[in-house]
Amino acid sequence: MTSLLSFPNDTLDAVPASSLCFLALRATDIKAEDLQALTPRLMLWEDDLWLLDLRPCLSYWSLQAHSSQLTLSQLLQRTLERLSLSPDYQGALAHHPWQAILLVKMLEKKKFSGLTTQSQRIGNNLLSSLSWDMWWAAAERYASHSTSPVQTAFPRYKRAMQLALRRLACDSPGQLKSMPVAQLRRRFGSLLAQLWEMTYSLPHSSSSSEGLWAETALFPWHPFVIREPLIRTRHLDFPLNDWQVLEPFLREDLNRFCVLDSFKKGERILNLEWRIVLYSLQEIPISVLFRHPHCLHSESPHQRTALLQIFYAFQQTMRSLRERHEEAPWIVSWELRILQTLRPLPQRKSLFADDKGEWEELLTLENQLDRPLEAYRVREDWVPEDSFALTSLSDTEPLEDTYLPPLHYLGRHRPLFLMQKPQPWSSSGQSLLWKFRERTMDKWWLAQGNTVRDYYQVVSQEQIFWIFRDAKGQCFLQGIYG
Amino acid sequence: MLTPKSPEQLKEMALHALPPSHLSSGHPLLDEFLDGGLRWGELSEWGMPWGQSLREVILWFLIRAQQTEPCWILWIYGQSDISINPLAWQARGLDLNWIRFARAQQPLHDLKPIFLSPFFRIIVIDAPQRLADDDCAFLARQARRQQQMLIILRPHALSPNRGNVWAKMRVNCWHDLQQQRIFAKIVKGRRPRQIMWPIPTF
Repeated sequence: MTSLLSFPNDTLDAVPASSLCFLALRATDIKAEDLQALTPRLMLWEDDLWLLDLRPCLSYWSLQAHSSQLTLSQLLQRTLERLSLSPDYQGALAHHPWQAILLVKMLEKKKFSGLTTQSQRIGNNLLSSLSWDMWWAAAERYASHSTSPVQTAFPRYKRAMQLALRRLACDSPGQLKSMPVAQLRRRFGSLLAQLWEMTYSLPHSSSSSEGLWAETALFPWHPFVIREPLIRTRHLDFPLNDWQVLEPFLREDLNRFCVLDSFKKGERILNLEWRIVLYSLQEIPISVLFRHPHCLHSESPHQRTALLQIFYAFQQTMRSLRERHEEAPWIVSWELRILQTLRPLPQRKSLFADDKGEWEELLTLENQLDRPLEAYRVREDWVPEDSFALTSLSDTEPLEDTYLPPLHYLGRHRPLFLMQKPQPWSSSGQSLLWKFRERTMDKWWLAQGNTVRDYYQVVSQEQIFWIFRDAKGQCFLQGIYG
Repeated sequence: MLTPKSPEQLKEMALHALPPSHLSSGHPLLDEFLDGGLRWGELSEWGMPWGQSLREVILWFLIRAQQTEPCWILWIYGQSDISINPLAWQARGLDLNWIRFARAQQPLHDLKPIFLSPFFRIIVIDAPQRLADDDCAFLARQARRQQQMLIILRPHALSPNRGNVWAKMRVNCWHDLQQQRIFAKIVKGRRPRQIMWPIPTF
């Protein structure tokens, strides 16, 4: 099966594999335009079952959740309520679209309503209690969406696998969680093997992380098109390549989008494409991604944020073009397209309006930069490298107060800065002062080998380092007391 | 509502109503050394050799600022091979909700929109690789205009004879690891003096 071009990685910052970023939603009275308030990437899987890819705006929703002291799933639940869904809707948030679909089908079977996530115990249990009938029904739907030539062999492989399962007296897919995928592929074809792998793979386990994401790229995603991209075309009177001269033209184009009837006030853009045509008639698409959904109307007429992001993308393209050509390329015309947008959420009538002004200011500022600002959240984990997560991309529950005192005690003696990766430490011929600080157990259930780390504060060359000695007696530098 | 009973009382109340001009560290010795603390709207420069646990001194000011009123803080670090250890920052008393970090070796070039906005009230620039004289002039002007506090941390000792003329205050800090004492010495901006305080590292 080949990767579909309709599933590009269109996020400015990398989304970690552990994020729950696919939402499956079954509701009878929902419109695609309403769902576009959550993400621009939608797919209609079947009659009233929608798939939503939250990755293009995951950091935005995570930060919104953080500012409201909620988890991502709690925020999504509230947002879905604002979309006036019928109360019996079924939604599931998962690492992979296939897992989200299976979860929604289980919710439907159990007649549960509301939103569940794969990381919750209920979500995990529902996935484990999946029946073969349900799995095969979903698999047939998957095969019908697939454009790969191997899908024609699906009925044959399906019969063969069903026969094998009857012989094994296997009642549910959960009983065969550990079935080796390679053997499945050999006997029943790549499509069934892929579906099997996607059903129970978890990105947390290091071995399956890359595999699951590779499968995500292969998922037969057919984007639901609500509106064709908005386009502004400009033909220049003379060739240009100086940003100072290009900027006013681009500003004018951006402002013209704001007066279009089809571009709603409050709509926020996530992805622009600036397709430039050079003097040599070569067309170059420049992708302009926004870290958070950005409202063009609110910055009309100066359009500072959008112009800054276009400038960064332009600079990068010019740099790579100059590496190939000796002279700076000249632009003769362009097309500016708005590719992805978020619709505004319905306004709430509340006496107590949310004060999000400061957060909005921060999001705008982050949108004006060519790199993300780092915001951290402490996690309930004693291993130094796992004791924190980036706030913008994590869905961890807020840490309970009961966990804070022991973690804080550890943290008080740990250094302010960590090395990006522990480095082997050799102390030959130096005068050193060592002080024992803590003994930490490694996560032996994740990787075999070393289980104990003894941490020391070490003075060497007028600097204070944080060094651990592992069970083999090898020393590694992990931190520095800034 | 308070009602003043005399002109003197009115003057005193007005003084208290004004936003504080100084940010104290919460450590009496250091505050006295700095004539009350760091001043809002100023650029200060600190000579702090890297790896001597001296950045904790700056943390005292940040923690105090967060305790006084919620204010956004940005810590820009120029060291290339390190990352932040948030548990240690939080354990020392810093509220991670109100602090952001950015890695930049040329802060003004890489993060210019940050310095044009008054959003972050305190910006710490730790070990910048490139910060020219003009950049410092710009930073000092922005700090004054936007009533921010900008702190530059140099990974070496500052010279009293040459260096950044735009910083209102310049201080050298060092850690005597044998005596387990931290020293601070005024280079510019306050009455020349030196203090030291013990710190039980070992």
